[in-house]
Amino acid sequence: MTPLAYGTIALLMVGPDNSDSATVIVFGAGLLGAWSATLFGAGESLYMQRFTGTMGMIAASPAGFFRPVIGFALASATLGVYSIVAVALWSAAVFGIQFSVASIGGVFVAVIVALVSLVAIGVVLAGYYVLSRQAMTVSNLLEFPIWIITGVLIPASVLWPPLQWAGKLLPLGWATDAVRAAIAGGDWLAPSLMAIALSGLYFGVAWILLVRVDRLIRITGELELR
Amino acid sequence: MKALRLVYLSGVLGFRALFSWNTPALFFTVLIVTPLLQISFFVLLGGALGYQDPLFFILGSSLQGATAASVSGLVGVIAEERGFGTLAHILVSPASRVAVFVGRLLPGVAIAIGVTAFTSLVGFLIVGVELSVAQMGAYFVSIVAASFAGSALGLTLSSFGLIYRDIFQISSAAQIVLLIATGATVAVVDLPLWVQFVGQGLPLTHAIEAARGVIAQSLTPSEFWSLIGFEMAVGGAWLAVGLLFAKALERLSRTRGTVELY
Repeated sequence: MTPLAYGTIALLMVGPDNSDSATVIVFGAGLLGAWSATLFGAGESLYMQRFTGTMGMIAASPAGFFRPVIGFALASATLGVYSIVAVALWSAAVFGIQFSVASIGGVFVAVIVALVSLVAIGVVLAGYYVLSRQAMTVSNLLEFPIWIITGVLIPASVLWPPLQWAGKLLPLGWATDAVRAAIAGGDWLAPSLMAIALSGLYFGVAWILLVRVDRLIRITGELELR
Repeated sequence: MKALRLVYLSGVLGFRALFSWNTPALFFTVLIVTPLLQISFFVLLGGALGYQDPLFFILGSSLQGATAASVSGLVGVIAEERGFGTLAHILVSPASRVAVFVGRLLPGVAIAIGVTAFTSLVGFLIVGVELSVAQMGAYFVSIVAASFAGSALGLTLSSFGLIYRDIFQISSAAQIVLLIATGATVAVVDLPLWVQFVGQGLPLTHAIEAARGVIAQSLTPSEFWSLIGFEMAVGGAWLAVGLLFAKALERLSRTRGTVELY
């Protein structure tokens, strides 16, 4: 519902005469919803593991945390596909939006890259979510900042420059640029490659963090607390 | 007197047990930062799309925050009681359910009103709005009216928690409807007519109109109180519906034996 709501609000704001920006809004609202789905999905999946007492079983298994967490984040990111499709169908049906995309292939690739970026960020956050009993509270705190600095719905160009650079520290910030460029007919490949490279870095960091978290939970013995 | 004591005790116990007090710093950060970020998001979005001025979103989002906390607070209370397995204990006790749940809600509403006043103040300072004491008083009345009406809607929605396990979905849907249909983020005149019609029966719509009128000094006192009266009437209607639903759905939950599912 979140992407539909924010897409609706933005489309109501631009009104019926500004169909040029409608395609960007639709994909932006879709990515906005994808971030929420990843953030809350990944956070809630780990929170519920802790709440139902099954997180200890994951910690005790020889697989470790990294692979299961990738699975949780991937499962949440698939909702991102729903998010984009749902906003597109809603916008076409309710607002009569006719989509204008310069490179369909580019948009397809950029959206996939965006979803990979979301998984990468989700996996990095997972280390904290495993340690903390406040995963859902932290999720609430992180929703708006990422929406703002990655420019999913609000163009990053209107932001204060330090915030623009903060957005570029996240793979989603580059992936959003790639989606916008593919829609407008610009260079979508370079930002896509940058997003992929950053995602790789995030996966590496996440692996290191989760190995350390795995060791830490055995020392503190607080994993069963909820 | 006994009911008031129950309200007080329920509020104290509920506040200590159900809110995230085990990390106070995080709790207060979320409380203050999230509404400010929401306002910033809409101010930036409106600016990027050339829609309205920052004050429009500061007022709309601030008051929506008060109502949202009131709506989701009560829904959250029922959901958490169910999650911890204590909902059945409340339902088998002879105490008034309304007193217990309203008691649970009150601290959250009081905080929501405080947070709304604070976020509004921050917004006013940033955009350079100066208010007279009378305007501040009238604005505060708008916030309280919006919170009351939101709480009443929350009571109605939370009663579904007696028969339905995932009422956060209902609460989320309600928040979205409030965000769109009440004029919080999109001016009422820009909404489709049927949405405007729906908005008239929702908490927040009239309170936002009153608050915007107060700040713009475009309302006479009688127009302001008339809008506040409408907001309270909407809240009163939702309260009546909520009490009826709570009674009927409690009976249904006993019949179906669904209280302890979570």
